[in-house]
Amino acid sequence: MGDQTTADKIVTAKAGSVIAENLKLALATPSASLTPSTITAMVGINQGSALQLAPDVQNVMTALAAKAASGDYPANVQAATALSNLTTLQGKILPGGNHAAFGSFLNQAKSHIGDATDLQNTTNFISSSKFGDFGSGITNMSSMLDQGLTSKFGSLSAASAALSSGGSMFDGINPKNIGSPTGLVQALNANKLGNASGVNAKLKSAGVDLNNLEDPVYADKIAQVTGGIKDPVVLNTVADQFGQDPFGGLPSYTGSDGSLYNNSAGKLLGGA
Amino acid sequence: MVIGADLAPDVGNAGGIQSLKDLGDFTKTANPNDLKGLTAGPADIAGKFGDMGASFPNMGSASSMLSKISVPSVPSLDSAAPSLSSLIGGQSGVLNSMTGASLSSALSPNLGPGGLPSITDFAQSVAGGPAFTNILSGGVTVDTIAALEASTSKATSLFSTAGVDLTAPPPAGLGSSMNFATSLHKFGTNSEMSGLLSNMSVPNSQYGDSIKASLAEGRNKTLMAQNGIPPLNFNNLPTYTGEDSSLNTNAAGKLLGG
Repeated sequence: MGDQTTADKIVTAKAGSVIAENLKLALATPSASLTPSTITAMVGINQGSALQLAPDVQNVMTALAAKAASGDYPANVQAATALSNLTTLQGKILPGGNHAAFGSFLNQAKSHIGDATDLQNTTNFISSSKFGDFGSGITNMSSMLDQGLTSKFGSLSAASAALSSGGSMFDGINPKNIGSPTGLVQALNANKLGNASGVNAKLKSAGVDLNNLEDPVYADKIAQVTGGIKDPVVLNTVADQFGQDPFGGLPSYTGSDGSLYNNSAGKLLGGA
Repeated sequence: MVIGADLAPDVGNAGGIQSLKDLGDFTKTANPNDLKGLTAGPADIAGKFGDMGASFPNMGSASSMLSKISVPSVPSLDSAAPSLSSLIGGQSGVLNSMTGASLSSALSPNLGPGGLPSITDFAQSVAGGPAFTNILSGGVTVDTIAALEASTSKATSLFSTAGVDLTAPPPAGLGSSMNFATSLHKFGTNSEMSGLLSNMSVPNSQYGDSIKASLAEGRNKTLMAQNGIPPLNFNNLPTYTGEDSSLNTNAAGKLLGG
């Protein structure tokens, strides 16, 4: 094949644009539901010439008319009534010359069935469930509103304050490790403080796999190691790194920062 | 002078920060006054969030979320629901009435799942269904007529239940006709709906055939899409701006309108 010409450009329905075997495939996005077939159907629908009563329905109507005209009482009377009621309903569902109306009714009926099915599936599931199946702390309708948080924590504002007190320490840490020594070590390493603080070296010495900190078998060792690091310089550096208020947990302290660094609490945090 | 845990003050919250571990323990880092009412420890909070599948961008986001969650007092609702099964059970009558399930038991054969109405229950009077098959196979009898009457009555009630006003059909026009026609692809993926509409398509007519074709097209489109094959595209055709007259005589050109 020689140089590609515009005539080589062919149209397919694939999305995107590719070159395949020197053919430029000018590709468009998939269409909606307007196609030659549906456009033809649309014309027939608009003209009222695409649909008719199903053959079974027509045959039954013929049979009912025949029965109604017979002397077979009371079936003849019932047949006449049934045929009348049927015809009335048909005239509403499939108005002559307006098949678009039938489509509208079908869409609404289908939507109703979908809604009803969704509702039934959900209510069946709910009615076979217990409050507690949805999580700890969920015991009634009220507790479902916050998924049991208030029941579990006691106070959401207090829990909020608790999380805030950690500064940015647990940012990006798996929520299941928030407030745990494992989460603390993860936070230190995420902020390049694992080695500087001496934590990593001590964890290795204790046999902790730094690449598998979340393994429960290491939980006690991690707590032991981090609990043994008491260098105030390290503590102060870490608190500063994570934007923690180093005195937040010391409510007995009421003075200025300067005075704190001269008392025992302040010295713990690195004061002279 | 190295100062450590030995000099940590007893401040009433487990002795304040004594080690690196304590910096991750909010019972040591938060003001106890701010923690009043808190009944969960760090492990409880972490465990709950873990169970809930939480994924916080940062702790500020978590804290903000907690401070904004609202739980209104709803004692009447709590009382009405000593259990979930009793809550739903107490409302099942109304729910069944709303869905139309309550209409199913004594009327025509129940075709929908779980006692719910099917599209045949709605459209049997024009598209055919069990009540008509019964008459064709069993003849016009008192019983078969009664079944047909029941299905007609049921359909009328169902349209009312579904909030469909049969007395106010949308006028025929481009919008309503296109809406129906473009719904045929969706209808084609439903065997019940597809069967009903195929039964109703006018035979020996391009328009009747186009109904069946559109239904099949929709069904096939879905099948192919599930295997990575996109539908044919009938819009957004590129505009030819070149000068190659051969475009008027080859297939590609014709596709582009030549």
